[in-house]
Amino acid sequence: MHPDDNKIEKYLLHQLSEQEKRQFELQLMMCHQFREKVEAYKLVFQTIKASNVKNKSLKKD
Amino acid sequence: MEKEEHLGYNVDEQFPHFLAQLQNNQALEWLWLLKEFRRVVFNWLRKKAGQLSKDSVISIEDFLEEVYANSLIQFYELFGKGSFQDVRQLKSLMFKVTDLKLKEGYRKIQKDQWLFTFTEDAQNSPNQTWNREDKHKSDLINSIRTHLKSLSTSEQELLLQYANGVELKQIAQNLDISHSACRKRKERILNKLKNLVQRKGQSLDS
Repeated sequence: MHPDDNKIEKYLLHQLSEQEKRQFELQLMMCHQFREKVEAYKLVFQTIKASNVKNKSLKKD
Repeated sequence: MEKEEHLGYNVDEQFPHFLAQLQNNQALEWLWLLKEFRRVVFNWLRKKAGQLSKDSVISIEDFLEEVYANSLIQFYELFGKGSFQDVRQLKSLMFKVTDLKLKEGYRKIQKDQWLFTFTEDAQNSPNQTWNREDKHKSDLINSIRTHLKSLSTSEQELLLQYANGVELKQIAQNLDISHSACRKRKERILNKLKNLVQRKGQSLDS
């Protein structure tokens, strides 16, 4: 069974305990479908964070 | 209460049994190995990676976790094809894979710098070669950005704070809304964005 979406968010936000992280990594290693879901979340988070960097640098200009 | 990674036997003394358990995808043995990798390899990776440039689009923590996760995935693929005599050989393979993934990670950062900073014309960068996957990623980032722009300022702020690790309770206070409303908004927007990415990803695969 895959960790739920809340766990994926916590993983990407570095909010899982060490033990939870290992359980999560186990699923990540073994399941391609789960990896795709995590990658989707990761891209969303990265884009949100990078958008802010971009906005700030545009404001400075 | 989740299971602890206590095997109840000595891995060095009973390595053939341990290896067989790994080959049979027994969670307990894999969790034990992951604990060892995190302790030994991840700490080595942290020292080796050093710092990223200040204008990097990814934090050092995100970078390390990404390299490490990619290393585990690659290790797992190679494990299935290899033969091992002891735990030292398993760790040795993981070190080699992580070293390789670290180098790949640095190259990816350079590309991501363009993709995330100059999304609209990232594919026109003279210093990069773009493959199909990069172009697809660029399109996905543009789609996410378009959706983000359609959100209210308050919703954008909520997402930004959440993506940067601020607790929902604190975000709710910052935006002067209830905790419950904050959580629901976050879930609604993130689900939409995640589904958008997955849908477009599937359309590429088909």
